[in-house]
Amino acid sequence: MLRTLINQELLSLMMSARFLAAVVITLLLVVANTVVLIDEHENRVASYSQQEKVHREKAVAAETYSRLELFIERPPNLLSLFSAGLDKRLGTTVEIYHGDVPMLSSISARNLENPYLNLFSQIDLVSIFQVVLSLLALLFAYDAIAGDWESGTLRLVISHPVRRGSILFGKYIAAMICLLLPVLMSLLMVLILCSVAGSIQFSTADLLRIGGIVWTTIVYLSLFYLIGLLISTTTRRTATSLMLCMFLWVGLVLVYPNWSRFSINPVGGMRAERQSASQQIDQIWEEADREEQRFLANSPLEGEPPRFNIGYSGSSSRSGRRHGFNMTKVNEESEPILPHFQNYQAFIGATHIRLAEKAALIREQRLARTDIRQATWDKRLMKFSPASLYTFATSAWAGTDLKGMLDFSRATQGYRRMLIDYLHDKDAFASRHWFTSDQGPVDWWDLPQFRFERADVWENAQRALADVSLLFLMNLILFIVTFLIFVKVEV
Amino acid sequence: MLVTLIQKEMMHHILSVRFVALLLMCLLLIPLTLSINYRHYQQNLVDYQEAVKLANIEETTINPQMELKPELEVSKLFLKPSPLSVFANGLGDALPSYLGMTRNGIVQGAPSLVSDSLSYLLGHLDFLFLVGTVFSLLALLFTFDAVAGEREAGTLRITLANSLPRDTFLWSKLIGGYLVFVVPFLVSFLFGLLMLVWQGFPLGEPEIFPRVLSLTHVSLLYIGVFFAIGTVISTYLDNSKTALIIAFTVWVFAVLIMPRVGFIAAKFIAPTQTSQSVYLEKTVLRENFNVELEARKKEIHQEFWKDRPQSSFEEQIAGGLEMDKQVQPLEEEFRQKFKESADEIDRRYKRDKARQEGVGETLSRITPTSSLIYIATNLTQTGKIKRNNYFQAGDHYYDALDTDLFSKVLDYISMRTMRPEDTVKITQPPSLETITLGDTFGQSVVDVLLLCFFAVILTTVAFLKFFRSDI
Repeated sequence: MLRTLINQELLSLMMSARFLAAVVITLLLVVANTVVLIDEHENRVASYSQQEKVHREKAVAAETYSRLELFIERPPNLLSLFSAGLDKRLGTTVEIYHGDVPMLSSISARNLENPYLNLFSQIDLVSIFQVVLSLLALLFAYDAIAGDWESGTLRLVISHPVRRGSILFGKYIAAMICLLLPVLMSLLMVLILCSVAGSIQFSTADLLRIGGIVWTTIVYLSLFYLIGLLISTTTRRTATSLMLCMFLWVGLVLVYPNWSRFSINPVGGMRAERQSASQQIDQIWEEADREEQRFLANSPLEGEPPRFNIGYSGSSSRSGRRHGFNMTKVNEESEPILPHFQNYQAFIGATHIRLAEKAALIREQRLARTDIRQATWDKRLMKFSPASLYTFATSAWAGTDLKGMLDFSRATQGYRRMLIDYLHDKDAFASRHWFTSDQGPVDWWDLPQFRFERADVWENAQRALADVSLLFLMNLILFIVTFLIFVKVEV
Repeated sequence: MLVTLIQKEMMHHILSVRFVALLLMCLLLIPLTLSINYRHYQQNLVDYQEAVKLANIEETTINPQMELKPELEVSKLFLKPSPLSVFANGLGDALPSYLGMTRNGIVQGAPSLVSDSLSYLLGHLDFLFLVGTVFSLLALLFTFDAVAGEREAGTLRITLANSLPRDTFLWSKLIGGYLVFVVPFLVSFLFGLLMLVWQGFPLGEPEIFPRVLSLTHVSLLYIGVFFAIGTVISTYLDNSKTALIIAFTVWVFAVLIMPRVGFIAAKFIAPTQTSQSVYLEKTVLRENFNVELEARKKEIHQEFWKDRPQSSFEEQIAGGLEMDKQVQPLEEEFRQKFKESADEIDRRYKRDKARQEGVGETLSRITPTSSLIYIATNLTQTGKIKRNNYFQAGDHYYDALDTDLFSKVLDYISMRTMRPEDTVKITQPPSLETITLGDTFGQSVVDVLLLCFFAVILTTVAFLKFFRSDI
């Protein structure tokens, strides 16, 4: 009997204009957007390769260790096609320097290519499903029970030996099939377009992640269908049901995710927190200055640091606490004090590494107490809307969420440690090559390369699990409530 | 008769569920959104003041004899947040927070949208978003059954059986619905403004009040357009459910999809380079010029020292100074050549970008939502006019710095002698020009006319269809 009910419901839904609209709108939007997104991704990859090359060339052009300027690029995430998350918003370039620990906040920001487009916010494939298909799910559901009630067919059906649960379940299954068809069709189109483009190759792990996104989409759409079904069960008129569905949709998809963040600010002012952290960091660097003074008191070096009274030709540069030298020729009379200068550089290098790590701890705490705490609260508040839950879950699958960005930040910190080890192995801080190239420039052939491995699929799945489970739980509760109401309702 | 019908229509709306929903949305969303955005503006203002203080441009002095890295930002032109961003954030968070002046050209500071991206994942809610997205939908919900509902219930036939002209009937529907819609909207907006004034918003300022008033009028006009769209749909259909579904589909396209499509299409119609690639192209150009210059200098160097192989330290210094004099015109020549080529790259990029944007803007005007966004952001000084002023001010500032400082910097010099009298005090960043309300309307005239056009043409279509239709 259930099968007959599903067949009948499937037929009636598929013959309706709604289904045609769902297929046409989804396919049209997905295909058009995929073309644009692929083009954008190709540009990002090209820009990444170009930047990486420029950074590499700049690094190996340094003639002394102190003139090394090492930058790394964050590779674009292929799955940002599906869920852009923070991937396109956060910066892509990070400077690696032994005297500064890179943090999430120090990833230098990327400018918006076309700020004018920001008036109409960016769109990715997940946001199409989030906005358009959730609306279509409600349009499929609003008259599921109310429509039958209004036309009198519900009474007719129930007069047969059919369980009410079967009617509800039959409608649910049929509608889900109808909703899934445009999703799967559009997904197939995306994969075809990507393979035609040639520049995009999905690995098995990527395909599994896409599978996770599709699974989350199914749970999300099911939730909206069940919301519509509940409204349809509780109202007697389709017009009322439709109106309620639309108000709820506007509230859940358009208003709440945007509004909740602004209206409630449980974290409070972060300015004081930031200021206190900056003061602590300033104190740390004052400590560095004091240690330097103590060192110089016992050193035969004369004159003002960092050049002292060394006579040389060449160039020097300064940026913050960092001094770079390229002495192409050192005057003979300055030669005797050079070993002391080398000791001084070794001391400064070691002090900066140690204190940068101390400052990093404070910066990390500040980040955890300010930006990350704010983001976590925003996330918690937004979880009241299924649309936000869906955004978070899909960005976790794609690796474009906050944790994905923190992974990158950790990788940059690891690379900084590799650089320090490399410099220690070469005894670079205490070497003559730190400041002079009079015996030839530094050979960077074995400078370690930066590699960033994204979290594996299981890690992504674990990150998405909480949000997907919450969506699933909401589904279950809604189905049970709808079932109970429908069983008790008088026909 | 018209007044009676309007009263009846108003009562019908007031007693319906949608009026409760509208009332709730208006009273809840408008004052809160305004109030929260004012807080956001105040935070932005403090950030701006702190950034200006930190940059300490008033005190900055630079000696052109120093080695000045081409990518060093010697000064910054900061973007001051507009108090009217409370109503429409527009480009506010997407524009670069400052324009950094480097010898390589102007570099853009991170927009707050990027630096605060952790909390900007889901967009920005402001008054413009409410009018453009939420109230446009509510306007459709008020009109979708204006004719279709009456036709379905059979009351249209009865009403028109009386000596009632069809136009009076439709006017009563439009005016009654519009009044019921607009009154709670205006009351909530007024309440929101009162809250703002209470929080300290300078509403009474001559630069602000007329703009807020104009924004209100434009919002009412936009809501009128959506009333007309809803009425057209309603006159064409017999079934109110179908009318609602169609109205909703039209809304999705008009509000959510079409405004973006224009810009996406423009990317294909008029493609451009990325700003990053332009910057890289200029860097490569500078490097190429430098290589050539180095080679030429090496030749001069070899030629110069050929006859003096064993010179003393003093002679070397004197020789170095003399050689610098020989190299200087060459450097000047290369600097000029680089500037010309870099300017050409910039001009080409700007031209392509402006063309692409123009195409995107024109195409996106297919929907009234884009026109509303353009007018509202211009009125609140967060739109295209503001952006153009900002970048123009940046260009002028750059030219001033170029004359005072960048053109005097010497890259390749054997001996650097720093004399205090050479030190240049950095020119202070100019303040951004504010455009008058008249000029703002002058520049937004196309969008205002388009909104009027949409309202008039759609109302006319609704009337014509209603006159011709069989009841």
